[in-house]
Amino acid sequence: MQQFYPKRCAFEIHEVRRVPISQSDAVRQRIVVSSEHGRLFPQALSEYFGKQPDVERLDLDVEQVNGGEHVTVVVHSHVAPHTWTLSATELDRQRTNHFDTGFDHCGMAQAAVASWHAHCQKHTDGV
Amino acid sequence: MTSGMLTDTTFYKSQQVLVYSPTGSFLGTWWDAPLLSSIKFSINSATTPWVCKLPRTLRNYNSDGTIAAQNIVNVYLFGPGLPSTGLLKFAGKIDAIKPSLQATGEEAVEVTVTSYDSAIADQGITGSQTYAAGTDPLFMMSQNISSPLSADGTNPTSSGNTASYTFVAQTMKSIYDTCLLMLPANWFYRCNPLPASSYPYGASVTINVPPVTAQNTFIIGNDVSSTTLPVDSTQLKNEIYVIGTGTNINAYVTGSDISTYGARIYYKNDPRLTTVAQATTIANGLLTFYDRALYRTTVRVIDYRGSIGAGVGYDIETIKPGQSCQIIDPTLSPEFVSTVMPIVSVSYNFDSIDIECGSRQPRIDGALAQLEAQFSDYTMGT
Repeated sequence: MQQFYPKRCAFEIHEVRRVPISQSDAVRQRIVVSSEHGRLFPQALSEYFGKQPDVERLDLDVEQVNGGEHVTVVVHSHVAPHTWTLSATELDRQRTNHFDTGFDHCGMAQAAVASWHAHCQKHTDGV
Repeated sequence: MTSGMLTDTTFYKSQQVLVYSPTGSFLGTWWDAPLLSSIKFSINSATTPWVCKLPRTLRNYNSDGTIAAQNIVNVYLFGPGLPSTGLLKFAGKIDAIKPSLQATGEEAVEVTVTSYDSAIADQGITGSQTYAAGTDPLFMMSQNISSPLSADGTNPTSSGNTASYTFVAQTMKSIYDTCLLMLPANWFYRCNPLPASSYPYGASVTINVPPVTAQNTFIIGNDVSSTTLPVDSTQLKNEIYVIGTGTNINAYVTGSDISTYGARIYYKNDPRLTTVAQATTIANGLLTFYDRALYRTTVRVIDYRGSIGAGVGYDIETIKPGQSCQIIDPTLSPEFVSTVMPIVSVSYNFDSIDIECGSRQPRIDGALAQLEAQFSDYTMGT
């Protein structure tokens, strides 16, 4: 008989590596008042960067740039710190049904990781 | 090559119900126990009791000396993919014995076994316990896990949040629920029966947050037959006002979705709050908890054991409340992929489980919370 491997829970919660994130009080408060998925953004960052063994920690802050509020993510790793910026109003975009294109915490975290990869590549290439 | 016999644990799943005295002496096995079913494991709550109906005569229901109040009942599962020494699925103590005699002549004894983790609602502190500013709510929770419960060794040591609070005359559950408000979004606690090797038995408490990526993927037409995917924002609250004790000890926070849903206020009066910082922490926690549309989906997942040759089914013994899951329907074009949701409860029926996944945790005092919300709800006209 052919061996059957049933579907099962893919991984345990404690196996997930989460990178420590330090958040300023301002960004913490900004995230709390954002949206359901905006509030999960720090966790998504922590877990997606957790898949990158070189990343040690993240700093999250909010700052005013040209009159607009921006959330900055500083990635500390084996290369020079990398800063990735996101408009704070992005976090407020609500999902009111299954097909809304509200704030996508996982997609944004992946974008931040991609940006960090590009930064590392530049560093390696000496650009 | 399997034998094809019903007792073949390489093919079929079976159970053994072992009964011990309150001091741990083995008393016997309930060979006449029905299969474990109708128990519900939930996050932020205790496991429901197991009501076990044994077909025994009224006069001699305790002829084997196993049925007495506070005897320990352990239910082990054996089968493919399970430990050879058995998987402890449920552990508790006998709390009620109800022999019955029907006019039809049917005789039985109904035994209610209360799970060890019910201690979270039965035990607590009688005095006060103060945690100074800068304390991680995870630390507050772990400090308040008392026997027969113990902390799960895999719990994280830091949540990234800090707070201060004074707990006064509260049950463990009340303390945990308060701590959840101080933790970041979606944190949960769950009780797990401890394996027999850790006598005198009990339950461990897992405190964690479901991953943002799915641990379980259920495909409609393969793992699950159908589902409904309601989105309900009737209970959403986006304006939180918390009042503590003392002059100007209060906090007011609003969500950014007031422009979408309109203002929906929630009042909370907590005399244990004595600083504005504490009130703000609780207000933020309440906003995080209430300011979201309620996704609540129920799916039935069938165990693969017993039909290995058919190549269908899921390893239901690996599914626990607090894990994350996603539902996919590949027959739709483009295929439907649900948002990643935490599993909030698992109703166990031996060969299948009914999973509730959703964006909000059930609570033992859920009905009270709803009532409280309605009393402070001026938008719903109640």
